[in-house]
Amino acid sequence: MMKNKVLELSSVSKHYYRGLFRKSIVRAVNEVNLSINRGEIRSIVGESGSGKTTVGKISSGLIMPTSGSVKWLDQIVIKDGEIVNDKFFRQNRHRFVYIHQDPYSALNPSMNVYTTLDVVIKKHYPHMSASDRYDYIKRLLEKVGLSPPSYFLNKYPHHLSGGMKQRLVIARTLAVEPYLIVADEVVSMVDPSIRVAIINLLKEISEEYKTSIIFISHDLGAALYAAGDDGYVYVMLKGYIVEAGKVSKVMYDPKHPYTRALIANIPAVIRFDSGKRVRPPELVRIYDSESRIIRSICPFADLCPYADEECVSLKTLDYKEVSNDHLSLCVKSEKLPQWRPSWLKNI
Amino acid sequence: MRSELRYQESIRNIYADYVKPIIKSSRGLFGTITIVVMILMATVGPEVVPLDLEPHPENMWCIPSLQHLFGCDYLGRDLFAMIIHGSREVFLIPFLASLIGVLIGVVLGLLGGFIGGLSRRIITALTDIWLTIPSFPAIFIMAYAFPKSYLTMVMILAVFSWPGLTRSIISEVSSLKTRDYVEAAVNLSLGRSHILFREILPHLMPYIAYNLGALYVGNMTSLIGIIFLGVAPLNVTNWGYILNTMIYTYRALLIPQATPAILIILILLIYVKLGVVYFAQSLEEVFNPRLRVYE
Amino acid sequence: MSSDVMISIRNLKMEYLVREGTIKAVDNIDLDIYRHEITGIVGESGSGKTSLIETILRILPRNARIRSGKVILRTNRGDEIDLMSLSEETMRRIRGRVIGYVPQGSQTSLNPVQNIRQHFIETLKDHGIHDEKTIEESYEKLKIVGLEPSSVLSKFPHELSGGMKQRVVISLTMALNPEIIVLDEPTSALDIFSQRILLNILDNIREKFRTTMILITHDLPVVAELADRVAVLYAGKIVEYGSFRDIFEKPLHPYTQMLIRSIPSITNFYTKSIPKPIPGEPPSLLNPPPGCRFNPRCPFTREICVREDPPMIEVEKGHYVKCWLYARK
Repeated sequence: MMKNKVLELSSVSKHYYRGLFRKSIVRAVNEVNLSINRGEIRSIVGESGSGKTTVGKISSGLIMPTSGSVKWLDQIVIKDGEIVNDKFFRQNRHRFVYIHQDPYSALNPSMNVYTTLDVVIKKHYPHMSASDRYDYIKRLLEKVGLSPPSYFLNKYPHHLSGGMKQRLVIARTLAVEPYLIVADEVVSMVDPSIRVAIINLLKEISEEYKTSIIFISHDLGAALYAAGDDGYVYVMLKGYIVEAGKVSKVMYDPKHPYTRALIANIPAVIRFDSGKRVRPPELVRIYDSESRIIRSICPFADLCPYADEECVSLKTLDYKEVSNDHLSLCVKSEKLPQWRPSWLKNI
Repeated sequence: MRSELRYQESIRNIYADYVKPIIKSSRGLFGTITIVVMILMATVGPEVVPLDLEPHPENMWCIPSLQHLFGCDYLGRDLFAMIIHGSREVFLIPFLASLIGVLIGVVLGLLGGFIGGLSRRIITALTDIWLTIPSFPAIFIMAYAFPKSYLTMVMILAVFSWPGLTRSIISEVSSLKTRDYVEAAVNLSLGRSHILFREILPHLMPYIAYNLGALYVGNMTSLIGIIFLGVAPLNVTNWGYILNTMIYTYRALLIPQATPAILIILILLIYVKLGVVYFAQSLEEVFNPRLRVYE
Repeated sequence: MSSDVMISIRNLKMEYLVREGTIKAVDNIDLDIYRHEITGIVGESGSGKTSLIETILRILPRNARIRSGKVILRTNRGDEIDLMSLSEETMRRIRGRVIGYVPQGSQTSLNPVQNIRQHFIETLKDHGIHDEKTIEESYEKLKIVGLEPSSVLSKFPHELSGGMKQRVVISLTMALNPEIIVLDEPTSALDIFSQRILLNILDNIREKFRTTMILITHDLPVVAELADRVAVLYAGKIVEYGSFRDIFEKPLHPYTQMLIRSIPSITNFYTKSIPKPIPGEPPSLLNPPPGCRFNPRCPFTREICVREDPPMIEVEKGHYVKCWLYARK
């Protein structure tokens, strides 16, 4: 009964109609295809406004897509904006959990740690006795690193640090033994020195319970660490997945100019070259929004150093299969010169 | 096992969660004492203090003393006793009215805010219309027109108590619906009644508590006010009635000896209202753990 | 790298008074800011970095108390003043015209009902500059941040992106021609390209105007890119201080070493080095641990670390560290 493919999004789009007459369209997500198997960790990388949060919420059933289909455990749950399998949806929605960026707002401030977990357990395990629930809660707290559990039981969210709050939220999701955890910017509001600890926790959970994890972040370093070399990464821009594939392939020969620009422009901790700091070459023509506009259906055309007439005259956007586990939305994917970040040579 | 269960009880520590926040703040302490005094006045008071309504002209307008703690009125009657006996009416009627008003307001507010859409618009429209009716004149007229009894007074006051609270609850619930922890509760399939009563309602408690206090004070003022203006005499010991006869019939404002009596009643009213308001304010700390600074 | 000290901070102590006690936010800090350089102050939440700047600029909340310390400012013209001893009025003249401040999240501090031109005029007027010529010249500052005055001046804040608003705030600060600019977390909430633009702008400002800059952040890579000198802050104290090469090539303090190692950066990915988080939690400034503040989390803790706070030792020229591993007792 345990299916291997936990989640599949096919051609999922989300458009918002704004304005008095619903005339203006905000295309938050465009034709996204994404899937994840049991026990895998896949990362989605993108800036704010790229659509990554919307994709995350659609995956966990919190937002209905405008078009496209969502499959959970190989069963179509949502199609073209409607829930098609109501019973299945309601039975399983708590196994596809979404974790918010801000743990403070994701926790009810008037519930202490014990109650926060207790209400979830009571709902899903109604036949558990009070003392069994108590034991379960203590075990969950130990598992997420809130130790000793007895210290934390009567604390309220405002007593906890950012990292601790996030651990509590993770404990809450663990209580229902989820198939999928969508972790949306879960480390952005946590101290830098503790971020890796939270990501490690997610990795442990994935390893131990075979939970799938979609790790969403604007921080490429964190996203890569979460996915690991064997994991998958999706790069999103303006609602499109512009590049997707195995981390080892995408990071060593990125085929979409946006991915290249991302890697090149991240400030790096150690980049030394004979005593001087090496600054990345400007891989992206950075314009203010009005100085130059290239109208093309390609989302990156206005900033892309390779953009030309071919890009302007594009009628459709199609994925180029660069190799087995590597897709790119760039029309020039095969023609692009090989590229590595300039400072990689020194390593 | 036993020590674990004992520990479970300490997690929901009644003292720390409910009593300490109120007592620790000076306002809360003041408020609690006032409420206790009020309860004693209304329940035990009339049993303990004998009421003597016989006129004793020799004590007319006597000043406060050990025998007559609040002095005497225009007929030489002990004001202290009259006030204690009148407190039952003066405290109880507005309380019942406010309670009913709050219940109606909360139910309508939750319905409108939680369901949203058409129901929300209908309820909001209804509430807005109700709010435009000037409450005091309306209460005045209705009290005059309807048969005079405790029940009618309570109902009349209640009928004008619910709109204000409804409005703020609808808007608060609508915004609470969008909070991340509510979204998380939906995600985790915790159920509609759980979300309503354990995620949303607790956050309305500060509004409800405060509103209950404010309504109570307002209704008390309205009640005493309309009786003072002579509309609905219920009982001779009703404070409004006392003031009414003192000032209109016996021209107390022109008599210097009457001043202590009037002042005492007014000060008592102010004290009671202030205490109720402070108590309601301190309830906020109970319902909102974030406000508890001393922990 | 200059050898000319512009701001000299000695024995600075500041506390917040709260119901539960006192929070020692700035706990005996000594620091030198060198002229024409960018000094990075690195610290996580609870390190006291914002408190330090608020103390220097004297913009503290009411429950703050400056207990001791001198902050000697040597202006470019040669005046030497102790900022802690100045009256509020004099301080007000220093803020903005001598020391510019770009606080965290300043994009949201722009007035939504005024256009950018009005912002310039207001800012200059607030500091006593009324003449048209100077005001006109100040618009040129927009060019430094990569914005074209003719197109930006007539716009309102909501018509600009987050990155652009940030840049407008910086140009407003520059319009007063301060000798020093302090920036608090300038890169948080910015996307990669806006961040890159900002870093280039700050580098530009340093090259062209030789403005001294103080950069406060928890983002180590940003500091590595820009800073000439770096001070590492932990629990209200400076635990290490040196040139950027000292800190990033030869970090001495265990906290610095562990902090650098704990960040999952791109470089880590390509060098296949696995980041390691720092165990434990940042300490409470209300009841800090005895002795060295880092001792509960430090893998090298010895008996003396729990007893006594270590002194600041100059291990090599210009590279200071506050740790018992390097001090003799």
